[in-house]
Amino acid sequence: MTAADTSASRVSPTLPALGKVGETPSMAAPAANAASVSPASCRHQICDPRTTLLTLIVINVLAFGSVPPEIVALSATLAAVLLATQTLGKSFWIFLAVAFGCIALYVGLPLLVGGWFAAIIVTIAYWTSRLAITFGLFGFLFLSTRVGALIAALSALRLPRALIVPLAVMLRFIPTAMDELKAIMNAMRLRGVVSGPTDMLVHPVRMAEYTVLPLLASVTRIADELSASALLRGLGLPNRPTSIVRLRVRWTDVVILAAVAAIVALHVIGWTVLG
Amino acid sequence: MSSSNAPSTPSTSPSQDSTNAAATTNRTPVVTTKAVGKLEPRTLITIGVFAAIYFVVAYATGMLGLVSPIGEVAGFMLGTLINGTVIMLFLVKTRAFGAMTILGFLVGLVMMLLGEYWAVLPISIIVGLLADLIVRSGRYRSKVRNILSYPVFQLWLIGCILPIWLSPASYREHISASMGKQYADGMVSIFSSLGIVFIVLIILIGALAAWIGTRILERNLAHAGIL
Repeated sequence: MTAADTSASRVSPTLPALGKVGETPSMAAPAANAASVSPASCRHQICDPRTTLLTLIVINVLAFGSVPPEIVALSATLAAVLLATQTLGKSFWIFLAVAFGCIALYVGLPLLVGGWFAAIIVTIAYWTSRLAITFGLFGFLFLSTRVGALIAALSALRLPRALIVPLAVMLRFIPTAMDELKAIMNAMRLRGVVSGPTDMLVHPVRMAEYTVLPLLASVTRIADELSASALLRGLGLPNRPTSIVRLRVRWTDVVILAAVAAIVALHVIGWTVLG
Repeated sequence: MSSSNAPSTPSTSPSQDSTNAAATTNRTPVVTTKAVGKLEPRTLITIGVFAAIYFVVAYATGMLGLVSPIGEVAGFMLGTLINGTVIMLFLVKTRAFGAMTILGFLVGLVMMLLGEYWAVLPISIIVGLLADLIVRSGRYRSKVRNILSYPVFQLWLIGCILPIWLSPASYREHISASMGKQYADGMVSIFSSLGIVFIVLIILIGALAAWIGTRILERNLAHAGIL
């Protein structure tokens, strides 16, 4: 972890209760704990985060580019295998069904029926299969990589500090911001300001005002507290901080990268099954 | 302050001068934070915190629609509307060149990791830089320039629809090979015209949202002492 990382995670921002009803103590505590303990304990990292990032980018470029369905199916298989190392629960099976279902649909449906309606279905399936693959790889990144490891990997890639520090703060702060937003929505529902999600669509401007103002008011204070705390922990120093996350290449990295390279090579030589 | 120096004469002029001096030195940092700043650590943290809020709003509204391209586009519009206020406060709080570029990098990176088209990252960095230049041209205080920078920044959303908008050759080939050339041309023309409508909508809603944002901030946060 970098200095920015540790400082952001250890600070438990005392969230000001604006627009919330009696939820302040329960809101502040889990947010602080979640950043430092809970997600880390249940993750098993099978490869270097840099390998994950490279895989994600190469498959993204490949999947959204001009590729035949065989390459899409291979990319989906790779994403499925990677996801299976992390979870075999419901989300894995949903991924499998959506990704391969859409591939089958956009390849198979034109053989059976024609017409405008079929063309629209094929188009939606075509793009959903792509999004499913890249989202599956995000699932793998999310489940396998801690924020600290990701920051260490990006530091090792020589990303400037002006980008690393905000990124670390942002990733640590997203769960807190989600909780804040949820608490504000609950408070509005409790007081009868909003009846449901349909109000969002009927009065978007008023809803934006009611939701965003308490959020911004608490956020500006949290930002001040965070920066005071981070400066005390040496964030303003010019030296590059060291990390306690050790990044090294293992055999799993070699296997994953070889699989990615194989898919790219098959695409380059124009391999097809269906002809 | 100077009570140890002159405990017997609290009402004399030297002690009053020193308390005045202490009061002014306490007040000076508040004044200097309002000046145009560089990218110091405090600014970087503020950027990170606001990026988190921006992202959460964009993501939560994106989830309002189903995981389909149409629901996603409707979510983008609602997110653009709400985030106008967030970005207007962000511009007031940072006032440094590079803030919008870094925000663009953060949003683009997370969106790319989330599975959006890879070009979303370079596009959001470029529109962030453009927004930065617009804000700087108003010396970070021009209300009109700040409002104008927001629809420009929101154009990063193009990155999310770009693959469908441009319809790569493989898609055209697939449809025309399996369903006929007429359908392929029809679908491509539908998506290219929808893409232009999407861009126009982003710019209009973005400008409206930024204007509403400044109104909301002035009306509510200014006299709460936050602005």
